Amino acid sequence: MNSRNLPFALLLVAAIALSMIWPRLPMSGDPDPLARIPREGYDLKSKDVDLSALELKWLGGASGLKRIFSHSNRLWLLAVTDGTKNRQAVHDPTYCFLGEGWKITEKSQIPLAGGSATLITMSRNGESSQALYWFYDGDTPFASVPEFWIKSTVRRISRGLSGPEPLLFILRPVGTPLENWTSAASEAATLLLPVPVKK
Amino acid sequence: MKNTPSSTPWWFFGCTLAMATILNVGLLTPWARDPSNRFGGMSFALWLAGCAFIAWSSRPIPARTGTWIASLSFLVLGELGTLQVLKHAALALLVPSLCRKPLSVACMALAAASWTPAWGWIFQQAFGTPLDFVRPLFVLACFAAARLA
Repeated sequence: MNSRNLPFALLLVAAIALSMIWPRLPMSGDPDPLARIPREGYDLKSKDVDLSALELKWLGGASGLKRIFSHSNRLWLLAVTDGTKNRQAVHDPTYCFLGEGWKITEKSQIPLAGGSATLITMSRNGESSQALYWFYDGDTPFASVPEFWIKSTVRRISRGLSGPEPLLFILRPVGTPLENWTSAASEAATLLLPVPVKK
Repeated sequence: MKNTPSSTPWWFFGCTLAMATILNVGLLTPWARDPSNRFGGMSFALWLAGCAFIAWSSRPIPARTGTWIASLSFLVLGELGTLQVLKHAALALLVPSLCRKPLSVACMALAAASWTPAWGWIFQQAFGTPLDFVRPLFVLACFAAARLA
């Protein structure tokens, strides 16, 4: 190989080697963050729901849970996704709702436990529904999808040294839509934040 | 960007393009399944044909070392961080780099936005609709601008 080709060959070999080896290096962090999501508490009882074959396919190796729980005399459905093993499984939940045929009629941010969450109101064939979603990495909840991208990307590049993987929470009321949805959902969501790991 | 027709080996471009193609195969999934990406595949085909036409009609094809190395860096960072948008950006820079005029490169690199899933997401956030049907029109507009450049 002549001297003109050598730097380009080295660059390519380094790029290919880095791309193949780095993602396979061990990543530090909680191996099962979903286990720290409270199942019971004051005015809180829950029951796991099996994921459907389609939902497991969408997760594609990522971890997820679906849980029905009761709080304030109502039933709620919680879905949590941990994209540690497949980051692509975690994306803007609006996509899923649009894919299911819902039309987003209102979207806003509400305060949640020192951070924020996104509140969605949607309609489909005359039916109305609501959803609240947020990301949580043990610090404060946040609603921004780009913030999730940045945090999860930096986490992968640093092999977990930058912090825990943000989990995606989606909360929906079961049954008729709530009148005072914002405060009820915010209160329920606060109860569901994972218990911090003791250092 | 510096054009160095004789100093950069073409196999370097070929290997980077092969890597970009392999790492962007995942684009087929949103094009096939996501309703907000229905025109993504068509826009990609138009974009690719437009780049090839401009590059061929304005020969000699330049070797843009800086752009190729930038594309390779985006690919590696995208793979390490599992960030698809960086891999898309790598391909969006690499293919138009074959056009001779820098303004044509810029126009066709901009046109690449049309086949990315990010297009649908950005317009959905901004206007409440992914403006999917605008994708191929945007490629054609950028192609016209690149031809005039």
